[in-house]
Amino acid sequence: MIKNISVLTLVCLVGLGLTLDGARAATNLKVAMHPEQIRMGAGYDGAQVLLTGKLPAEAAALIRVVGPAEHSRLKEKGRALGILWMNMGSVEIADVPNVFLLYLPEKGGDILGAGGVPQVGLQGLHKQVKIVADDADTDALFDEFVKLKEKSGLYGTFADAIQYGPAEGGLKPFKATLALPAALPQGSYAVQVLAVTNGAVAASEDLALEAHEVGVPSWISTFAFDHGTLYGIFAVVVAIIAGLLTGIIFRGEGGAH
Amino acid sequence: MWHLYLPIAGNSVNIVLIFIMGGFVGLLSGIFGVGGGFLMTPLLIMIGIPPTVAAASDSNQIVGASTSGTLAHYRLGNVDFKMGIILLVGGVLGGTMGVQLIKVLRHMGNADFLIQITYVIMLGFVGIYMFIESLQGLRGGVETAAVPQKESGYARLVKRLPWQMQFEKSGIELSILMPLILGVFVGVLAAIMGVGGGFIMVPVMVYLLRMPMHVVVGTSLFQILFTCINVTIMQANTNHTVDFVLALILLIGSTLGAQFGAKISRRLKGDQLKIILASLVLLVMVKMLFGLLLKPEILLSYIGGH
Repeated sequence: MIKNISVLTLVCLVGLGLTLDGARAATNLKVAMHPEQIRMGAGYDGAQVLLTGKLPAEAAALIRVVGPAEHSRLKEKGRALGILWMNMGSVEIADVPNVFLLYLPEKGGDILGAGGVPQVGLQGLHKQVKIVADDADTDALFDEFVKLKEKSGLYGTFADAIQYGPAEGGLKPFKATLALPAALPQGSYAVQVLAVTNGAVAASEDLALEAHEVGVPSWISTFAFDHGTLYGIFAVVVAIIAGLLTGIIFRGEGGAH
Repeated sequence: MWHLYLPIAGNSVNIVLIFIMGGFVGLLSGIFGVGGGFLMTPLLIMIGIPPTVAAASDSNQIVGASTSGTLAHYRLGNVDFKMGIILLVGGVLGGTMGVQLIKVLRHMGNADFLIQITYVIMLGFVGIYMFIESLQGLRGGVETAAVPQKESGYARLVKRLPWQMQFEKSGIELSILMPLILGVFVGVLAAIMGVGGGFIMVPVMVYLLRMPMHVVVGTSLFQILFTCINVTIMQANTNHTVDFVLALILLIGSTLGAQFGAKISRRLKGDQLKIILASLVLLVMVKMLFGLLLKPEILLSYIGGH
C-alpha cells in the first residue's frame, strides 16, 4: 500500500514537472501514434510504433517510453576468498520503471549532456530510484542495473531515431519509429514526446501505449496463472504422450532392436 | 518468420534454434541416461529465457525425453524397475530433505556459494574418477563392469547389511538399504544443485551399486522421468514458471534425439560411454570454474537463477 502511494506520488511529480515546463509554450505537439495498442500474439517478436507530429522549429525532439514502476530484488557478485566471483550481497531497487527507452533525434547526440536535458535521461532516473544494498557504492550499482536491463532490451538509448522534415511557419514536422523489444512485459506504457529548447523542456505530450497478450499466448498465461496445478499436470501428460508417440513411430520404422 | 512468442518466458524465440538445442541434449540423454538439465538450462538462459523459467520448462521437456528414452531402453531390456523404484523412493525422501537444507543455508547466507562449490567439486571428482577408470578399462582392452579386483572393506560392509535382495535385471544381490540410502544421498545433492541428478546417479549406480553400464542408463532415465514429473507439477503450482510451449518444441527435438541416442548407446562399449560422459562432465566443471574465476560482465543478477 505504502509502495503504491509512493509510486503514485512519483508519477505525479514527474508529470507535474513536465507540465510546468510545457506550460511556458502554448504549442501543441500534435502527436499521432500508430498503433496505440500492442497485441502480443503467437507471432509477436517485438513491435514498431510510428510517431508523427510537429514541434517548434528551433526545438529538438526527444521521446521516452516509460513502463510501470517496479521493485527489483537482485544479488550483487563480489570476490569470495580473494579469487572466486560469487553472489554476495543483496540489492533492492525501488521505484524504478520496468522499461525505460530513450529515442534521440538525428544529430542530437548531446541532448542528454550538460547543455541539454540530462534530467530526463538515465541521470535523472538515477536520482529518483531508491537503492538499498549492502554495498555503499550505489552509483556503480545503478550502472550495473542499467547494464542488466539493457541486456534484455528493456532499457536502451537509440540515437538518430527521430527524423525532422522541412520547417514551415515556425514549426517542423518529425517522424519516429520506436522499436520495442520482444521481452516487453504486458502493461501500460507512457510514451512521452518532449520538445527541448535551450537546455529545458519547452513542451511535451504524453500518450498511453497498451501492450497485452492475445490469442494462444493469452490463453496459456490465463491457464498457467489461474490453474497452476492443472496446467502442470496437462504439461506433464502432453510431454509423456509426445515421448510415447516418438517411441511408437520409431518402432514402426523397425529402428530399435 | 521462424519466431514464436512464449507467454510464460515473456520473450520470443527462434523455433529452429530451440528444436536443434532440444535434439542435441536429447541425443546426450539417450546415450548416457542423463537428463541433460545441467546443459540445457544454461543454454536456454543464454538465448534470453529467464533462469527460473528455463529450469522449470527444462524439467517439463525432460519428462518427454525420458519417457521416450525409457521406452527405447525398456525394449532393449535395459531397465531394472525394481532398482529404479527403490532409488526413486530414496530420491524423493532426499529431495525433500535437500529443499529444507537449502532453506537453512539461505538463512545463514552464502547458499549460492555453497551450491556452486558443490557443483565444481562433485563434477570434478566424478569426472576425473570416471575418466581415469574408463581409460584404464580401454587400455586393458577388456570391458569390465567395474567388478572389484579383490574384496574391499566397502564390499564386505555391503554384504553384511540386512535385507539382501536379488536384482535379476542387473544380475546383482544387494541389501535394499543400499539403493535407498544412495537414492537419499543423490536426492539431497540434486535438490541443492537444482538438477534432476542423472549425472550423479549414473556414477553411483556404476561404482557403488556395481550395476552393468547398459542397465544403468535405462534405469537412470526411468528414475529421472518420475523426478521431473514431480518437479514440473510443483513448479507450475507454486512459481508458474513452466513454459509449456517452450517445453513442447524442446521435447519434439529431444525425443527424436533420445531415440538416436539409445541406438548409439547400444553400439558403444561401456568404457567408451563412460569416457565420453566423463569428458562432458569435466567440460561443464571447467566452464563453471571459469565462471567462478573470471570477472562477470554484469555484477548484478536477478534472484532465482544461478
